[in-house]
Amino acid sequence: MDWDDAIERAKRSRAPDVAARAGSNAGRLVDGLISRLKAQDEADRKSMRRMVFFFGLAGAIYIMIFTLTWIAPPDTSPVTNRLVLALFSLILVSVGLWSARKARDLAGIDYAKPVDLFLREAERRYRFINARDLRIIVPFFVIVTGTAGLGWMTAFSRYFYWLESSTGLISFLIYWSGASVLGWFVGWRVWMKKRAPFFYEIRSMRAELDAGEQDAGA
Amino acid sequence: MDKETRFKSIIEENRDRIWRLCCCYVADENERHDVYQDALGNLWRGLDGFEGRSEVSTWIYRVTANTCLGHIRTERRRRELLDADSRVEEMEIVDQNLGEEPASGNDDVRRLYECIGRLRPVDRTLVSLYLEELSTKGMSDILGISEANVRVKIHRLKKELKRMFEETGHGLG
Repeated sequence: MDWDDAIERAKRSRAPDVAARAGSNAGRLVDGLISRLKAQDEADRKSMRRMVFFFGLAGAIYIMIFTLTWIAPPDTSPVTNRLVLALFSLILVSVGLWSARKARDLAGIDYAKPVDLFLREAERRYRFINARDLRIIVPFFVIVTGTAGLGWMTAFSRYFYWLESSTGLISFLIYWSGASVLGWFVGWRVWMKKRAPFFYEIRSMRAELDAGEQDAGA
Repeated sequence: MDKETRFKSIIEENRDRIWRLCCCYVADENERHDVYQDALGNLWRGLDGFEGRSEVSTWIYRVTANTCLGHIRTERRRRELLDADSRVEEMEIVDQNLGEEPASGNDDVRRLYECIGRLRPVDRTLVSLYLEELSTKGMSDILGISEANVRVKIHRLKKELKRMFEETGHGLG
């Protein structure tokens, strides 16, 4: 048989008996799969509800403590205490909402998109940092820095009261910059190990797919 | 019609084409079943969002092709984690499995699938759609690239596949 016959036969060839290969009948195979999928859907929903509940509860507790500082003001630095608590509440609520959105995005990957678009979106998901996440990460980082700075300065003025506050600020900046750089570095290493191979693979697939557009148009 | 009934009816009608697409991507029989089930899972999850704006077959091809491409990425990563010896061993196993009637008992068709398996992932997608006898427009809709690009790629791939097919034929004597 030659090439043309092989191609024609491959085109005509019907799929083998999938059910027989699976060692079961097709109906039972699909029924079993549907049950597992339904269970998975339910587990995903429960996990999402748990996450929202956890962060919602933590946020509510901090908001309650924040309210208490108005009813019974703390003895020292009431304004700073309130500010720290308010920022903490904000952080918890933001992290909760962000995590819920991330989980929803991951659960709802749309496989029905054209391959090119699907790969484009997958590339965005696997990027070290994507533009959409930056919109959350930057304000979040600013809030966390502010909260940590306030906490640090409060503790500094309490335990190192004989030193100038500028020393406290400098020490915080050194510590925070170091911790931030280390955090980014660790995050980048984890990304390089776990996600970068996928990212580059997807990118090369996209390049393959798009290659030829110019030639085709010429 | 409830989701379950609708799903069953769609799968009943399209099971073969989903399977055939999986055949082009995955050589190993057991893995192919996994990918097939993953594709069914993604079809189930996507069914609520399918509003019928495109043909059911186009939707099925897109979901299956994207699932298969996703699987290839995962698989490649898994292989990278294996040490060199087990990688060689595994490649041999895959090669043997390629010879176990991917879609037909015929040796030449088997050899053709073996050649398809050696193509790059995106090219496998194109060839699998070509073997499904889809129109250039249909392939363009599924892939999201221009019809002219599809034509260029198919033309190049047919030549490349034919060369590989003939070379393996000579090799076999």
